This record gives sequence, C-alpha cells and structure tokens, in this order.
Amino acid sequence: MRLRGQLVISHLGSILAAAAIIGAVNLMLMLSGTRNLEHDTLNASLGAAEHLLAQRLTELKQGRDELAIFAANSGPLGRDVDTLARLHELLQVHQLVRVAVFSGLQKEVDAYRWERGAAPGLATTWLPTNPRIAAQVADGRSAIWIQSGPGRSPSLQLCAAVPGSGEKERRWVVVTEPLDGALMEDILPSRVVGALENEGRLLAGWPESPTGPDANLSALTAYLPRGPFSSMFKPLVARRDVIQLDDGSGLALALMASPTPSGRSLLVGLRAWFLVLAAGTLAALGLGSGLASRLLLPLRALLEGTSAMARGHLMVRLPTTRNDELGALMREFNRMADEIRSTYLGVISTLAEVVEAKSHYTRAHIERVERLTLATVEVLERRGWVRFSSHQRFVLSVAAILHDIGKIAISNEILNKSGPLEMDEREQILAHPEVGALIVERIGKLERAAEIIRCAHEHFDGSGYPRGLRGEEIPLESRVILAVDALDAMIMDRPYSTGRPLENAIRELRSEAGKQFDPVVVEALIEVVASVGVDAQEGSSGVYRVLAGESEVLSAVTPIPQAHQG
Amino acid sequence: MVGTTWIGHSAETLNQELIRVAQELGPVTMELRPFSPAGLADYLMRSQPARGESLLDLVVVPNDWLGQLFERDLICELPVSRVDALEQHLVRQALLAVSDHDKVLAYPVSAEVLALVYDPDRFPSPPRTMDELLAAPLPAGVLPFAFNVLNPSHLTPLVSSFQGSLLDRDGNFVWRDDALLTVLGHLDGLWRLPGAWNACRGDDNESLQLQLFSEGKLASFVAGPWLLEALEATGRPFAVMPIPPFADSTHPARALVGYECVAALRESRWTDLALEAGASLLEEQANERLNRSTRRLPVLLSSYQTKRAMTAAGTVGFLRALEGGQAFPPSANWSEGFQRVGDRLQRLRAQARPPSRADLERRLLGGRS
Repeated sequence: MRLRGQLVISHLGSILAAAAIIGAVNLMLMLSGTRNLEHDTLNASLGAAEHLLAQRLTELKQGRDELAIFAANSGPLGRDVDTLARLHELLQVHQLVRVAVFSGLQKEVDAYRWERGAAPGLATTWLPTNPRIAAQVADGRSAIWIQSGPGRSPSLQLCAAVPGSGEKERRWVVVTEPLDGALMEDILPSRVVGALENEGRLLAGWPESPTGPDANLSALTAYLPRGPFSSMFKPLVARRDVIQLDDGSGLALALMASPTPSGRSLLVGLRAWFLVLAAGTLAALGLGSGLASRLLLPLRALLEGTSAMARGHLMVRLPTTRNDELGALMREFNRMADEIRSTYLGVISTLAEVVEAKSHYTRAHIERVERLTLATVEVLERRGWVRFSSHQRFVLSVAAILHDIGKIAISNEILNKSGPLEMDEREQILAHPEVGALIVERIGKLERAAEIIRCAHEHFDGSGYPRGLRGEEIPLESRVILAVDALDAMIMDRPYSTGRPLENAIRELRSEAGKQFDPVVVEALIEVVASVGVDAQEGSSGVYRVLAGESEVLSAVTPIPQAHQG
Repeated sequence: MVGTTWIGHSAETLNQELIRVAQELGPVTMELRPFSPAGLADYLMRSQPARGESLLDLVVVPNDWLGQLFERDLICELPVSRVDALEQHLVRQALLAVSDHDKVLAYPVSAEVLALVYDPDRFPSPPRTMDELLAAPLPAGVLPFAFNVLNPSHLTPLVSSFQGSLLDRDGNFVWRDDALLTVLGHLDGLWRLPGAWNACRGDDNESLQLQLFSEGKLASFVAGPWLLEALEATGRPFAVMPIPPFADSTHPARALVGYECVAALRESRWTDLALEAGASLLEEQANERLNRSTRRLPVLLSSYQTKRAMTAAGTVGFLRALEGGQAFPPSANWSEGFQRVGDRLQRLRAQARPPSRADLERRLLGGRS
C-alpha cells in the first residue's frame, strides 16, 4: 500500500476510534438521562394517580357519610321507588357505584349504578372477614377494607355506623367501590398500564385484569405502546401504597410505562452517532490527505532528488527549510550530494590539470572557455534558442573544461610540431575528440559531456572532425565550445607570440560564421564579448572556479526542469 | 390521529378497530384521542391546534355535527366513487342522515335509537298504545312506565305523534306548545302514582329505572340499545318495541335516530388515508365487531339480513324502532332547536312534586316569553 494510503487510513482509524468512543459515551449519557426522565415522569404519573385516587376516596367517604345521615333521618328504609330514587340521586351526585344500608345482619336497601357494570359478583357487606375490622365496625366505628374472595370481584368497602343507632339495633351504611379497570381508567394517564395490588396480590388491572394465581403486572406488558428498540429495555415500573386500610395493609397502585422514550432516544443517539462517524470520516479523509501531502511533499522531493542524482544530475540540491526530521534528512541528502559532486569535481579537476600540463593552455584559458561558453548559452537562452537546466549547465561546464582532454593521447612532438603533419600524425590529431570522449565516459554519468567533447571539433558546414557532422547534427554545446575555444585561441597570448586583437578575432569569427561556426552561436558570443568582455568575471559561476575554490554556490534544483533545445 | 367523544369501553373498542385498520393499511400509526363533546367542538372550531397538539385526521362525531363542520369547511365531502359503494351497502336512512343535499359528508358507522323496554310477564302481548300501557293492571308499588322527562329524545316520539313533522319551514327543530302539553297531560295519571315522578326526572334515572325493572317495580321504560348488556345481566325477561303513540294521536310516534359518523378533516395531511381508514370501519366484520361491542345498532344492509341480528335479545325491537324513526338531519338549525327544547325541559328539574297543568304551563311556557 502506498505511504499516502497508509497515512490516510491511520488518520481515519484514529478519528473514527475517537468518534466511536465519544459517540458511545454520549449515547450512554443520553440513555441514562432519558431513563431517569422516564422514571421521573412515571413517578409523577403515579403521584397524579395517587392524588386522583385520594380524591376518589374522599368522594366515597362523603357519599358514605351523607348516606348515613340520610339513613339516620329516614329511619328504617324500604325498597320503595322514592327511596331508591333518593339513593340513586346520591349515587349520581357522588358518582358511587353501589350503596347499601344494613340493619343488623339484614339489608334494608341497596342501590347500584349500571354504568360501571355493578356485576352480581360484587359483594356488599358490613361484616368484614378480618376479625379486627369486624370488631371495629361492630363497635360503631367506620372502617375501610378490601372485600374479595372466590367468584367475587374485589372491591373497596367503606362502612360506617348510622348515627344514632344504638348498640342493640346497630345500623350500618356501606359504600362499595369496585376495584376494576374502570376505576383505573379514571385515574391513569394515557400510555400507561396499571394495577391495584393488596399485599402483593393483584386485584385489578388496566386495560385488562390478568386472571389466575400468577397474575401480575407484567402480564400487561402487551398493552404498552411499542416503539423503536423498545424490546431492548425493560418496562418501567413504579409502585406505591396509596390507601391505608384498616387491616394494616395498603392498597398499592403499580404503574408500568413503555420504555419507548429510551428506544427513541437510542434511535436518535444512533443516528447522531452515525452522523458523527460520517462527518468524522470525511474530516479524517480531508485532514489525513492534507497531512499526507504535507509529509509526502519533501519525501517526494527527496525521492526525485535521489533519482536525479542516480541519473547523474550532480547539481541537485534540496530545500532545507523544515526543522523536523524530514528537514534533517534533506540536509543529509544535500551533504551526501555535495560529497558525490566533490568526488566528481575532483576527478574533473585532475583531468583539467592534465590538460593544462599537456597543452599550452593555461588555467585562464580553460576558465575563459568555460565562462564564455556558459555566458553564450545564457544569451541563447535569453533569445529563446535554448533552455538549460542546472544539470545541463554542469555538463556543459565539464565539457568546456575537458573539451581538449583527448590531447593527452597525442604526443608532445605532434602537438608542438610546426610543420605539416604526416598522415598518422594527422590521424592522431583527428582522433583526439573521440579519445577525450572515451576518457570522460569512463568517469561515469557524464555521457552527455562525452558526446559534447566528441563533437567539439565538428564544423557547422561539415568540414570538421572526427565524423564530419554538420549544422543541427552537431550538439549546440559543441558548437558553442568550438566558437569560444577558437576566439580565445585567437586572442590568447602564447609564449612565443602575442594574441590577435579582439576586433580581428571577432571579424574572423564572423567571416567563418556559417562555415566553421554556427552563425547564431557566433552572434551570441559576440554579444557576450561586447557586453562583458573576455576577462569579465562578475556573476560567473563556472565549475572551474568552484574547483579553484572561488565559489561554493550551486543552484538548488527541485524539481529538475527538463531542458529543451530550440 | 382520530378524535372522538366516545369514552370508556366504546373508545377502547374503537381504538382496537383503528389499530386493526392501521395494520391492514400498511406502515400507518393511528392514535385515538378521546375528547369531551365540548372539548372536541372547541378543538374543531379553532383554526389552529394549540401548541404541541397534533392535527386530527379523522373525527368520530354524531351526525348532527356534520352540517356545522361542513359549513365551516372543516370536513371533506366523500368522493363520488366512495359514495357509490356506500349506496350499495348502507341502509338508505343512514346515508341520508350524513348527506347535505347531494353531498355525503361522512361515513355513518353506527346508529342509536330509543325504544320501549317492557316486561313480557306484565304485558303478555305488546302494548299497542301508551294508553294501554299506562292502564295495565299492575300490583301496588309497580310503575307501568318510566322515562326521562328532562331528556327531549325521550319525549320526541310522543310529541311527534301529536305534532307530525318536528321541523318548521326553515328546517328548525320545534315542539309546538299544544303538542307538548297534550303529551304531558296524558302522562298526568302516571305521575300520580307513588314514586313515579321521582323515577322520571332524575339525572341518573336510567340506572334507577334499570334497577326498578330488575326488581319488578317497573313494567316498562324508555331505553337505548346500550342498556341491552345490563338488561341481560339482570336475568329478568324483557322485550323491546318501538315507543307506541297515544290512542288519540294523529301521527306515528317516531323516535329520533342518531348516527355516529366518521368524517375526514380537510386540514389533514393524509386525507386519502383518513378516508380509507373511515371506509375500513364500514367493512362488514369490522362494523359488526364495533357495534356489537359498543351496543350500538348496525348501519349495513347486510347486518339486517344476518341471523345474528334477528335473534339477539332485544335487537329486533331496536331495529324496528330504527326503521320507523327519524334521523337527526345534519344541520346546525336542528341542533340549536333541539338544544332549546332540552333547555325548556330542564326547568322541570327543580319540580320536586308531580307537576300540575298549571305548573307545566308556568315552567315550560312561561319562561319562553
């Protein structure tokens, strides 16, 4: 996998892991908060239901007391229409279900409303089975208890003695409130199921009363509203004793609510989590890509620099603006490149010294040839004829310095011979460019310089040697070196003669333009000479001067532009 | 969201049917929201629901609400394609009860009508007139007849038997004074019986009458089909027939027939779905379940042809009353007139003793001027 991909994936993984952890924590907090809110809401519902049930109990007590007063004022009651009508009025006013008046064990009268379905199984009695309450009632005190039994619907009994009835002829009034779904419907909020319990025994439920010995609140789960993920959570249950009974037990109200809000909260949380992950992924891809680019840019430069160096581009130098490890790596690369370049230059320097020693040329000539060659190329570049990279300039410098290296294979006698050359002598002279090219090729990575040297004695009209190339067949660098070398040879002072004046040399160059020399090159060279002179050194950056220790400036190349010739 | 004035068991049954309909319609959630009649009217008449409230899509209301709702542009007229289907399957009277001229405004899902419940042991053959009913030889302490004098629905059949049409030329519901006084005058003998006046004027006298009937102290009374279950629970034999007219009346005694209707609200975002849900409540099995459970009367032609309808105790009598009854027209005029008549009758609430003719004229007629 590419380094960029690895970096992006690594970044993506980190951000997704962070988003996942944050999302999970957020989800847990959200669920916890929702669950607490659900509990609070259910407890509030329980409180409201308890309040309504207390109000109902108050209503029942008021009805009981009013009935007791009516019974006291009326004396023994019959089942005539007027009495029943009065009792029904009482039922209506206090929304009672069933009332009865007893005299001793004998029921005087009872009345019931049918709206609540006062089933025949609904027992109304003043005599509770609990002996403690029975004694309390027999003693003439009011009491509240739950009446239930096999085949009997559970009901709340509120009993009171009729005022004024003596111990021997005790009369009681009883108000019976069925503990049924209808009672619960009146007090329960929507979306909640509930049950009335006494000592852990389920008496009634809403919206249905579960039956059987194992009947309990959980049987009502099926009636709870369902929502997303609600099956993952347990229904919420709240339970409280809401009415204290005279047998010491309590009537408990139990409410159960659907965990729908938790499920919805989970759904919302998961959606939010997904969005965070999606946003995190996009951010990670963007940031990871940016970071990878920032890291990979210098690495790519390093790779290209190394590759260029391997191809022989000795002038490569990388920017060293970074202060991190990558910056240190690039500085090390530059140092290594300098070492390699130094080794190359050392070889070239040695060869240059050989040329100096072998020929009549002085160091100054070599330096001038190199400098004027580079300057001429610059003019050609300015005129749009050519575009050289720094590496090509380096190669050109090397070629300019070593253009006559092949002469070391020619004996001094032939070189210094003043008369006409013999055939074999002439062949040696004609072969020296090839020899020079072979020497330079051996250095390695300087094939282009070798080719320039090989063609440095070819004439524009094809009259040169060794191959008789013409015109554009001759590398431009070779054409430049030929013209510069000729000019410098003409004006150079020698031990046995003085150089020609520059004007004459220029005239000579022009006269040979199109014959020996490239006219374009000649004009460029003349411009150089005319503008800066032959010996000017300002702005010179030749390799030869570097070798002489005069400059350490080498241009940085990143990336290395492709040269093209016009 | 479905709004209704139904409560308790009826509301729960309706809710179950709506859940069933929602399951059949696909990924639809239907929720029933019970209102008091005043609360639902207030909700519907508001232009916008209160903050946090959901818009209602359907309402289940009495048919006499429809005219006012349609006048205020709150409910949709049923499309012609659906009306065609209704004409084939509904009792014509039910369709007329939810129609305003040629527009059908809602689906009628159930009917209610008052009839006479009587003790067949006291009346071996069904009484043909009220006079025959009131003159029946009964033991002391047994009332021949009871009704709710404060409820205009109970008196309407008898008033209409003397008055004929209950509508004036403008469509207003009216009782003529002479017809009302004639009816009450004919009942004067009843109220002279011990306890009879108290059995006829209480707020909860339906329950009282049921207890009296179950204990053999009442031979007949006016009741609706919702009492059938309670009547069956008493274990006492009973029979049901249309309320008979007085012998000297000039017209048949026609009871008022009310229909519960399902109307789609115009503001609903899912009107088509609401109409589809309403139509689903009129499917044969769904409608039968709904009406059997809520003790209301069916409106589908097929229901009158089934063996079950013809054999259920008391149902035939109520169906006969339904056939001969008169439906509340869906107009605001009718509702307002009916309300005014009810207000007049409420003046008898404070009448502790059986009213004389002077009392009746003073309370019922004196207050009008």
